[in-house]
Amino acid sequence: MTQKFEVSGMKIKKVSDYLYELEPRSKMQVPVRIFSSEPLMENLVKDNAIMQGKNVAEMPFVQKHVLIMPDAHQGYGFPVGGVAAFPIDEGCISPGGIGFDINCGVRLLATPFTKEDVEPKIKELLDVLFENVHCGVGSESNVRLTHTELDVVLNKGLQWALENGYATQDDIDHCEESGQMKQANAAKVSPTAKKRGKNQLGTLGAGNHFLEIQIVEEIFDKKIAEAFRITKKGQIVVMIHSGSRGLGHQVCSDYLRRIEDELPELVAQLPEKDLAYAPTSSPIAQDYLQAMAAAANFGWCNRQLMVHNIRKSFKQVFGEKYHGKEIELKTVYDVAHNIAKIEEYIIEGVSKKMYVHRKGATRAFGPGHKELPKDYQVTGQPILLPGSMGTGSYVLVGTDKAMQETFASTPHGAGRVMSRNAANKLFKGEDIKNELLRKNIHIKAASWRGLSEEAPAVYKDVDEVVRVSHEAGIGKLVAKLIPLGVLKG
Amino acid sequence: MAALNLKFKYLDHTSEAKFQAYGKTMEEAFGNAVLAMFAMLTDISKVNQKITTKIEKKSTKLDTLLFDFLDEFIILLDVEGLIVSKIEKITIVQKMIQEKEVYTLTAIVKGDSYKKYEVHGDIKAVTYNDMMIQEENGNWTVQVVVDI
Repeated sequence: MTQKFEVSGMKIKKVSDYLYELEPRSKMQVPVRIFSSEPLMENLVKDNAIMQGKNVAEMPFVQKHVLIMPDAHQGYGFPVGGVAAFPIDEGCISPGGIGFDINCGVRLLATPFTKEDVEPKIKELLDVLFENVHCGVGSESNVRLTHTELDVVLNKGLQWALENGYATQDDIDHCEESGQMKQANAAKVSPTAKKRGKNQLGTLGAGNHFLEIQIVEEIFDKKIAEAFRITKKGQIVVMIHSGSRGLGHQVCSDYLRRIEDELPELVAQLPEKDLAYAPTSSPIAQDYLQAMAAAANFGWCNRQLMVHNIRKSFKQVFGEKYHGKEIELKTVYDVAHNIAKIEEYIIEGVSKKMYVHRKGATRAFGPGHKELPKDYQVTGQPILLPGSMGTGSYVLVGTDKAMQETFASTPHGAGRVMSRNAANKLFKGEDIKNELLRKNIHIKAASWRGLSEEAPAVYKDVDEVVRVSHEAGIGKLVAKLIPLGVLKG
Repeated sequence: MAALNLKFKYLDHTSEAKFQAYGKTMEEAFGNAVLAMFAMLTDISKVNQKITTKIEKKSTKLDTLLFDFLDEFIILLDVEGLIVSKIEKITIVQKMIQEKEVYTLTAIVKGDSYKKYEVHGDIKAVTYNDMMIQEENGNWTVQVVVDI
């Protein structure tokens, strides 16, 4: 029998397999649609995520529907795993609808190596990576930037990395926005935010951020996988999950506070202060968008510098050549999962330009989208879905259905189910390390205590999240990746 | 009701970190909120009191004052690597400035650079999510969710 779900006395209707809808209430401008399955819904209704989605659906000018992704959980203001779109001429911009970690995202690198090549040297590789890619609280960049150079990073993103020898044109071609949001303006980023970020470029951070050496465990769609540079089972790939570090966090804090100070009446009416938004045409919103773009550019450069150091590390461990050919670690793609973008969708038969807010959701452009690189025009956009340490991560591909039904959005990861507080009581870092080692997963961490908070059991079943995405048609399965080595802050 | 002498405790929040901090005065509860934040990162009882820093924040609203106060420590952690282990002195004074009631918070805190200690996790930002500042029978409680 189909289970009935409700939150705070509001009923949730099952629309079709993997799609649910919250019963509408008078203040809601649009429906809240939840992509989920019965097992995922059971957890989702226990926290506040759906009610936070309802709050977003009450915002002025919100378009068509507020979406909740299969990996969603409660956040602050917007739920994590929430998507909402507002028209660019009259609408809202909400920093909390993007998140503190602006351009938190994922980069995937394809290597020519196989499991057999890397497994015997995994410990050495992790040690070298740990030396070259700084992680953990207070970790400092190995690049010293002047204030002027930092502004160039913020304004030019990966163009700066290219000009300074940290990126290739191929990296740029395979990065969302080509690694540079054009409206970026470093002058809109506060000196405090710059101070926080200045020495952090190219650092992993801590918490749920990681660098993983992964093995291609399964290929679901051979043709698309090949286009994505994933050629065979057993191939080694490298995944980075990190964001814009302290700089991005401060941009969000600064603008939330500015909205609070400058629009007190508006903020006073909100059910939660973290929902604070500014009308798109207002100077605050325009300044925030330029600062957000600058922080996003910083995020792309942050991941790119790590890529540079990963390439260096592989050469240190494996030499310059592999089977007579120069070792190349090629970018599969780089996605941002905390960001607002101008995109165009059909609303009631009319094409409309909107700011799509994605907070813990991955853009999922289908085939033929003009913003995709040439080699992904036929396939659609790669979606990179990081899982938990013990389970695995996935590569999916964007679909036409996502374009029509979810403002081209799909989940961003496994999504937490257990608080860090509860995890710390249940697990010990050392035990987690040993348990993973039994599964042939090697870990190098800046702190063992941090590991318990990221124990595999604190996450939703990533397999189920991905299954919902695939079955609902908002992101099709391409490949499954399992970790061999993990670097954590 | 908080147990006697309990400075703070952690609560469950699926994705972020939530805590309550207690005090006989609002100042004490604010100070303990700072300690709660740093205690998430390391065992602060082991952190020396070598560096002294003074913080001053002003706001017309208490929740904003708490937000800005805690945010300052996240900035200090990123920029100077400071882990706070002791609140030396903290005062909150309310007075009229340009026809507005303004709270002025002044704190002197002590701590040390993170470099000498095992530190884990990260604090990205303070949020207003479920923020609470309340007094009951002479006991103050503040509740904060930080993005980590």
